[in-house]
Order: sequence, then C-alpha cells, then structure tokens
Amino acid sequence: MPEVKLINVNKKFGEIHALRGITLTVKDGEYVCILGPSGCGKSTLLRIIAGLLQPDSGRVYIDGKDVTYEPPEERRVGFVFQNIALFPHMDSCGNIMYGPIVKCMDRSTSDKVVKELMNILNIAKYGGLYPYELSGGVAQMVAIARALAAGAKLLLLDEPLGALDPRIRVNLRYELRRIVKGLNLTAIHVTHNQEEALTVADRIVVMRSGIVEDFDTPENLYWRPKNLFIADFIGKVNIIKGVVRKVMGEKILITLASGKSIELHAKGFSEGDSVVLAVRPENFEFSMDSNIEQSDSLTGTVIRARFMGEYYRYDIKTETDETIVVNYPIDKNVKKIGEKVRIRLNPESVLVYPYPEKGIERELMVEI
Amino acid sequence: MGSLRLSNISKKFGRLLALKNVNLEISDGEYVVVLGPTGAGKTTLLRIIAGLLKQDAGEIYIDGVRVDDYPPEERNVSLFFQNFALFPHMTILENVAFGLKVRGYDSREAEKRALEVLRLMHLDNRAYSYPRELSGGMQQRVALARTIVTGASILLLDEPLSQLDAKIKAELQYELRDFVKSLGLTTLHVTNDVEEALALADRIAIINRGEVVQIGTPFEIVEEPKNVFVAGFMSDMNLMEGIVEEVSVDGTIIDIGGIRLKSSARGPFKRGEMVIIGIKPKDFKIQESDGELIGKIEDSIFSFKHRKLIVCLNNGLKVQVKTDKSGFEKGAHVSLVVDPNAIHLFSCPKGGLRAAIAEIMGVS
Repeated sequence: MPEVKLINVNKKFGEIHALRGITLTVKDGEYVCILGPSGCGKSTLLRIIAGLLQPDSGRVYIDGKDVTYEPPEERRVGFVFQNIALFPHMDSCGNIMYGPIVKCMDRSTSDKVVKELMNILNIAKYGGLYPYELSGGVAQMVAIARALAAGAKLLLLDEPLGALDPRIRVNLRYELRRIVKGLNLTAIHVTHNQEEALTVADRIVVMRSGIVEDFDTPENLYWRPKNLFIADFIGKVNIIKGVVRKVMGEKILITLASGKSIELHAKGFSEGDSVVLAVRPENFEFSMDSNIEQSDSLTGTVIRARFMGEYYRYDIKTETDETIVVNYPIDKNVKKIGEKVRIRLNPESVLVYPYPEKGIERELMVEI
Repeated sequence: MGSLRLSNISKKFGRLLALKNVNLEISDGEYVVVLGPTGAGKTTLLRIIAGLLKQDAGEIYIDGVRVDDYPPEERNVSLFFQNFALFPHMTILENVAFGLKVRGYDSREAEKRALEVLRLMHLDNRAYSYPRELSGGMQQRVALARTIVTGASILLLDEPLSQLDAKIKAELQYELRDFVKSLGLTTLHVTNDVEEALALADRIAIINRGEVVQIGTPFEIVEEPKNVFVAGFMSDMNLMEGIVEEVSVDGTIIDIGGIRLKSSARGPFKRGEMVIIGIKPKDFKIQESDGELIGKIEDSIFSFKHRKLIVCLNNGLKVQVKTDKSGFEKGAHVSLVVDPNAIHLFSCPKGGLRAAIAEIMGVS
C-alpha cells in the first residue's frame, strides 16, 4: 500500500531552480493533485517520484523504502502522460497486456487482472480496437489501464485530461476519481486547472516557482486560504483595500477606500494596519433598494453582464473606481449594463489579510 | 461593415461529410461562437469562409456580395489560427507589422498602425520585446493583434484561447469580447469550450457532425436546448430514459424505471413513447422525507460554493445532485423533489440515450 514521502527535494536545470526543498507526504489511498501555473515545477516533481528524473539532493520514499536512486521499473508506479502514447500497431488489449508480458507475469492471472481492469474502466468493448479508432477520452482510459496492468498501486498522472475536449474532461474527472477510489490506489495528478484539482482531489499541493505554497483540502484552500496568493490562485477573488480602524476583541472594524466600514471576525491585527479584503464573486448580495445608505455596502455601476449558464457574471465599477466581479444566481433579478447597484459583502465569507509587503501585484504573481 | 451569410455550405473529405448544409447569418458587429466537439467541422468552416478551402456546395456572402470566387486576401476577413506562431527573431512590433509590410505598406506606416493596435491591447510597453520574453497570455494577445491589424472587418478566430492556463483564460475571454466590440468588428469564433462560448457570444451556433443543430443566445441554448445533444453538451444535466404515461394540458407524466415524474413540458409526445428526461443537478431539492425520488448518497464532491452528490436512486439510476447545504454523508439516504418546470423532455434520438451520450462524450 503506497505512501509517498519526499524530504527536502531539490532540482536544478542549469540556472533554473525547478524545485526548492520540497517536503511532503502523500498518504496511502489518497488522491492528491499538484496544482500550479506552467513552469512551477509540478511535472518535474512527478517525474522525480516516478524515477524518470533524479533529484540533486533530498530523498524519495515509497512505502517507507528509500527509492531516490531506484530506477522507475523498481518503483511499481503507473505513469500516464498528457499526450496519450499508445502503441499504434497494437489493439487496446495488446497495449494493456504489454506490461504484464514484459514482466513475464503468469498469463492466466494477468488475463484476469486485465479483464477486470477493463471492466472497471468501462473500456471492455474497445479491446479489439486500435488507437487510431479510439476517441481521445477512451484512448486515455486505455493508457491508464496499461499503466496499472502490471500491478501498480501508485498512479502518477501528468495533465491526463489536458489533451481532451473540455466537456469530456469534466466527465472524466469523476471517472478518474471513481477508478482510483474503487481500486484502492494512491494517485498523484498534476494539473494547471483549478477546477479540475478542486473537484477531483482529496488534498491539493499548490506550487509556485519550485516551492510548495500550501498543501490542504479543497474546502480549506477555497474557503480558508492561508494567504492572499492562495486565495487568488485557487479561484477568483475580488480585492478591496482597507485600514483597521478599531480592534474589539475577536472583531475588527475596517474602513474601506470608499469611506464605508465593515466589521469582521479576525485575529492578529492592530489599529492602523493596512489590510486587503478578498471576496469570492459568489459571496455578494445585491441590496434591493440602491438608495438606502448602508455602512457595509458598496455602490457602483454595472459595466458588464454575462449569462454564464448557472449564474450571471456582473462586473461592477465602484464609486472608488475598483472593479468588482459578482456571480449571481440566474433565478433572481437580472441587472443591466449601466444600472446603479448596491452590493453587500457577507461578513462571514470575507477573507482578510495584511497588506502584502511587496504590493498586491507582486504577491499575486504566478512566477516569483 | 462586415456582415456574413453562409447559405447551404457542404464539404466532403473523401467519404467523410465534414459540413452538411450549414446556414448561418451574422450581422455587422455581432460576436458569434460556433461551439461543438472536436471533429464537428468547426475549423473546416472557418477555412472555407477565409477562402483557404473551397466548399463543395453552397454560397458565402460578405456584405451582401458573393465571394466564393474571391481569393483569401480580397474577402475582408482575417483568420486567427489555433497554433499561432510568432516569428521568434522579430520584436513584438515587427511581428504585428509584418502582415502590413507584406501587403505593401511602407515600413513606417505599418509600424505606426501596429503600435496603435498594440496600445489597444495594452501591449505597447512590450513592443520591442521578443516573443520568448512574454508570457503565454501576452503572446496570445500579440497573435490577436497581428490578426486585427490587417483592418479586415470580419475576424475569424480558431480556438484563440485554447493554449492558455485556465486562470489567465478565465479573465482574458471577457477582455477579448470588449476589445473586438470596441473596434466594431464582426467575429466568428470557434471553440469546444462551453464556458468560453457563454462568456463571449452574442449568439452561439451548436455544431455536431458537420451540422448546425441549434442557434440562439447563450440563454436560449442553455435554458431551451432543442435536443439531447445540446442539453448534454451545454451542461451537466442528468439524462434518463422514460416512457410517456399520460399527456394532459398541464404537462406530461413520465415513468422512469418505476418512478413517476411530472413535467410541465408538453411537446408532441404520445402515450407509450420513449422520451429522454433531463434534470439539472441544481434543480433537485433535498428534503427530509416524502420526496418523489429516494436514493442513497454514493459520493460527495467539492464543487465550489456547492457540493455535488452522486445519488443512486431506488430504481438503480444514478443522478448528480447539487446542494449548497452541508452535512450529507456518503451512505446516507436522501429524498428528492423536482419542480415540474425544471424537468426537460426530449424526443428519443436514434440509438437511444446511450448513443446520444456517447456522441456528447466523443466515444461513439
């Protein structure tokens, strides 16, 4: 049963420091996503776990065994790439049987294993088809079956859905999770897609420029992000600047640029601190009457309104010239471009952070 | 001016019918997105309009003039390729000005116009950088600037955002729309991404296997899908087979594997007919007891503000249910109700639901 442990892993490519002191543990049976922008080192990390690359320093343990310098074939891992690489001259069955045959596994046992795998992955009926006869989604499922056929219990996936149509991608996320959980595998899945990571993973490693910024559950990353970078990277946030005016026990009173104030639960701030509020687009309410003065609401004008299927997205220019994005359910009153609106922050869902030392733009940069 | 009209466009590649009687009218200044799965014929359509491919049948009119015999450069269109390639040895400015110079503009005039477009795209401060010094999102904007600078009034965009990181794309798509709208351009944009289509389009044309199956505003396409393909492609709607039990003035009663549900949709359905019913995950209401549908939670998945529950109903069917309440554990029993207005009905396609889903998922 595979647990994966990395201790202080470093890797350089020439001048580029691809990984800097990565330490983390993926538990047995866990589905972990490594999420980060292009060039953050996520694929390098996966390759080091697979044994396709060796770290410059640090250790890799699988199942408690130090495998840092073991070749890939000794690690019992299945690896799936974005570019579905099936043998073009073999049918699906042939592709899947390749591993067991190379490893000289007992034919009747592996036949049984492969059959079962194909059933669980819903690809049994494609056994006799060649890669060029398969759609992208099915071909990727065959590639996953091939990665697992030789008995791997650790599945490493590098952007496995990246080459597929978005509609198919969404569907296969659930499939991937179902397969991993159904077969009691440990999975590590690299992606640059926030939504994919949030919906498929038990926990997510967020990477930026070769370091782990956070490692937590989707719920915590989304609802209780530990800093402004995570809050913004994991899903959109609106950023509103303010100053702490008063500290009252567990509550603080913040004055916004517009002169409005809002009372929030927050600890560790002192009077006069510059802060930023981060608010997710779905956490605003429209006030019915835009004329009534309320202390904790903002007024503005709708400058963009888009129907997005399950919600409307409104871009609102506030009186202090900030643009706020609000996602609002479609079954409520539709706002029009040019309409004056009053939006209310829901204090429960407002995140508050110290104003970043190096400025907001620098804090949010995906490459540092 | 840039209106575009396609009349009965058909195209075959060998035995493959890539486009079948495509009719599409785009008015001046309109943003239309052609949305469909890979292999539906989207790129072929753009190439025919641009004049890079010749249709087998049908006519193309630009501003009311038939242009079938015009070469690409005389059609007043500009095509953005999916795999745009910037010249690596040229600066951003030179890349954008290149097309104008080839068209005979003198070098200074070409660069002046290029700089104007770069300014509009907030890239003028990078005019003297090289492509490798720019992020993917910026490079994409440069490629777009290069497409726009030609001055053509019809823009043909082939998956212009597909190479971007999800996060960058999510914002850039709105900017792209504002930008081409501010220039008053007519745009035909093809993509396989539903969210992108919703964010950008005045109207969406859904294309499948070379045929346009529905044209409408984003709202119409999502809320009133004409058939199972459109419904399943546009959303994560639950689709199930059912038999019409009763048709009356206030709706239709459907039997799905032993469970009776009432839909306010009427349609031309007959008693005993096999139909497909569609329910969006957000339209299930969970209650303590007495629901029309009883089931057991098989999985619970994080879905931003909500959770998505996979519920196995008593009749063995699985449905996805979206809820913003918490506390639903795996293995727990739930009772569901659906407003009859939220139950969509579709005629059963040839080959039944299985074939339709396979088509949507690209596995047929």
